Amino acid sequence: MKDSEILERISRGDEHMLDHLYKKYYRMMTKIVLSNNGTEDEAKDVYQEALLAFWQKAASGKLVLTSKISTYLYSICLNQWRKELDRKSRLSSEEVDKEEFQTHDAKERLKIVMDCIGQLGDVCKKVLTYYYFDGMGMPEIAEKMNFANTDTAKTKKYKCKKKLDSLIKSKYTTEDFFD
Amino acid sequence: MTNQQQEQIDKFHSGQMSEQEIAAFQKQLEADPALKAESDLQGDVIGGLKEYRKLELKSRLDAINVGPTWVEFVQQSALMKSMGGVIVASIIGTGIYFMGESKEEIESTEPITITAPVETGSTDYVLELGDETDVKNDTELEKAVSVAKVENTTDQKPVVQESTPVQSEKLVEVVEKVEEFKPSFDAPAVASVEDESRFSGSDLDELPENTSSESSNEPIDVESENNRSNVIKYKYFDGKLFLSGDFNKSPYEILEINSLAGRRIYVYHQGSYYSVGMANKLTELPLVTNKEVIEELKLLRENK
Repeated sequence: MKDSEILERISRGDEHMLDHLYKKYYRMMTKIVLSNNGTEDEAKDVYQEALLAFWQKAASGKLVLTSKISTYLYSICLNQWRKELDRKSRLSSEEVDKEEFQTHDAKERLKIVMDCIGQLGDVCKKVLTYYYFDGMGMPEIAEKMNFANTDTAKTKKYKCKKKLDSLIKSKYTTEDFFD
Repeated sequence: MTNQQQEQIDKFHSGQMSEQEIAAFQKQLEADPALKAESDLQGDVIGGLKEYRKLELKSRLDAINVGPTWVEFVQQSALMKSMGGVIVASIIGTGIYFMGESKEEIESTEPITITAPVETGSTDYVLELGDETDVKNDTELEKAVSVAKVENTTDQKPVVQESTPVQSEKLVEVVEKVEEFKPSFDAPAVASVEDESRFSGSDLDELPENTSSESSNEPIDVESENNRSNVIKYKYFDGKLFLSGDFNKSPYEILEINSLAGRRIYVYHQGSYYSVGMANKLTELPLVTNKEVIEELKLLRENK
């Protein structure tokens, strides 16, 4: 399958292309980490992050590919692993403590948000995640979700977002808002 | 919170703002705490949605079997590696077998050995081509052979030249050196030498052994010194020949004969032949008086 065809299908939200790319380049990409003092889990995580970054760009239509997909993915993996190694070596114990404190606070809030998202229906989850993560436009969401038209998608997105905000606000305390 | 502000917050956290829009919005956030609180909340919400989707996709990817495909399995399996090894070994073995055979054929053409019967029995003659030997082309080879045939008709003792390692009973090497000129030899095409009887009667082995201790096949190293003396003097030791005499009018020639009996060196100068023996000190070069030897040397010299 040609790269151009893969990109075209990703722009339509075809998640099978994600599976295809993941399998196709798994060994090539994880080797970057594995051959540079990384573990199998780290290698897998770096590759998944890189592939999802690629997916986000490609699905939103923002990607202008000037090289092969494999080359693009390779460069992302390489940069991500370099950043990770740099982060590991740069952090002092004090910075780690600070980071851990911030991470803990953010984790708590993230947990609340995730719980609230989990309470949404599947359609709301999909519409909101397609819009915010995949960067898909309303026409693409409408097509993918088999909505009647773009306006339906817009309305659905607005209502779902309101519902989620409401759920989250009910869970958040005043301290959470002004930390 | 107005709808416009909600849209701005949405755009801000979705990365849909330009740099100018971001800068302007950040100023509004600084000026309006309520707007900032709402923006932070939306940051968490949108961040959570992104994370949710990411986890969803990661779960999808985790469920994919990334083990080796059947092609990779075939490539990596021990059985296939073993079979591959056997195949490669077979190819290499076959290649060596055939190449080795062809090499053998080529090598078999290199030795040029002639068995020439002489009065005392069959004899193999070998011409040793020295380092300075230059076998130029087939025409020259044929020419050399034709000269050899003419000599045989005069019932002379021939010299058969060959370019193989020493394998014969008689090893004959003829090296001629005329001052600055490097000696060269035309090796006869052995295949053209048909009549073996022509080589009978050669008594080169009966030539005087005046340098028998020098058995090296390397051409001798010759140095000369010109003077006005009519007497040629020489010194010969360790393969080095030094000549002193009047060589301005006519150059000298060195005739070197190698046989199993040893190396014999003669000097030709102005119609006379001189025999070179071992001499540590400068000695007068002895003249060859034996007519038979002179005739043989003459023959060799003309066949150079």
